[in-house]
Amino acid sequence: MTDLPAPAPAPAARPWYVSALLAALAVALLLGGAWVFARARSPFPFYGTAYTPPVAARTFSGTDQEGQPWTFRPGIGGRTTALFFGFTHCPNICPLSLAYLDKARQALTPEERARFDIVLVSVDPDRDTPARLKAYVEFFGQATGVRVPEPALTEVARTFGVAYQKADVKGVDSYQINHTTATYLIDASGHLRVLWDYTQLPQVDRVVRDIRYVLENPAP
Amino acid sequence: MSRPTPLLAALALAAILIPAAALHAGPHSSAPTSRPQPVPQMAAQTTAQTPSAPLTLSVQNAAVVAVPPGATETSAFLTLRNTGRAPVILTGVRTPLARHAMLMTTRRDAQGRTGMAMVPTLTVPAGGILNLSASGDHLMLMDLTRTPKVGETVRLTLTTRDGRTLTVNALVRKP
Repeated sequence: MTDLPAPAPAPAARPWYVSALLAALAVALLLGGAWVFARARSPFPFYGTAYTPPVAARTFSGTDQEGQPWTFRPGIGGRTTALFFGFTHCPNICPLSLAYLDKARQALTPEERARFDIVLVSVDPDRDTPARLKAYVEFFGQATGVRVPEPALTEVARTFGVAYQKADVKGVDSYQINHTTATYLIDASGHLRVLWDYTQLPQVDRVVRDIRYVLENPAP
Repeated sequence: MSRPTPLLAALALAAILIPAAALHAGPHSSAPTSRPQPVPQMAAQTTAQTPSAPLTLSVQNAAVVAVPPGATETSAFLTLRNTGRAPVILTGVRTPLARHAMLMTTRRDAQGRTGMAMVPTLTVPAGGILNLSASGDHLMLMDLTRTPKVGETVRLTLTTRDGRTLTVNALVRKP
């Protein structure tokens, strides 16, 4: 049995205030250790959920809202992209996501804005024509609306960890699509860095802080 | 650390419990559902048709999500406050803006997919509030009769299980 060095050579005779001090020290060490561990995993306190380590995003192709071929090349040209999956018959989650991402975009400086894109990938290629996507993304903000036909869409969604499924609401023509509601932030090195659930997006200031950090600190 | 003493064990426990207790205390002190809160801006006009007693509901922040031309559906959000001693059970909604309007809830399945499902009723608890929002219970307006214009008001008529109605003027606005 070795005794603890320094302040308390005789535990039995230890005065109460030394115990209290040791207690405070132990709590501080434990909390500090947890903090250091968390920072080591992700040096920036992201508001969204961080990818630790960052994951390379995949290239994929589709048609944009102008009907032109469009390819997502993660990080190309030093650009940072906020990307989410939705559909134009979506009456609340997708408008909210588009509107709040646009508020975040507007809060950036012009220089930052020039390196930042917002992309909506449709999970309803049957109904979402380029024209419909154009009306939708332009109404709620400034984004690129992309149609990826099946079966490529299934594969693209899988690489992002996105799930979607048709759900009849009233009759065959008025189905809704249940889908995962995350927005993914891909940095200028083409890596997935952080995701926000749509319920987090209304806190625009905190989303902007995440975007700023990722704009300035792409993964190596 | 060479000697794990009971003191250290107790300290470790305290280090875990103290922040946990603090977290737990948060929601209690900050969000009591029944305490009156300051009413923000534009309260929607409401009128209650009364076969018996007046409805004990008040409405705040009634809004219809503005949608682009060609859209066939949208949703409506509002906060209902029940000042009465009995819960008020909503059974339906209608509006001149849509051929079908229904009470909806938001659900997330095991795969993490979020979707909307019709529900037969929504309840405003006695002395409490029902918040209809994009992330929870809400009203869905399907087969729109026209495209609502930003800034106009749209009439929503809520019906309750005991046959009463509450008319709400909701502002059309972008999210």
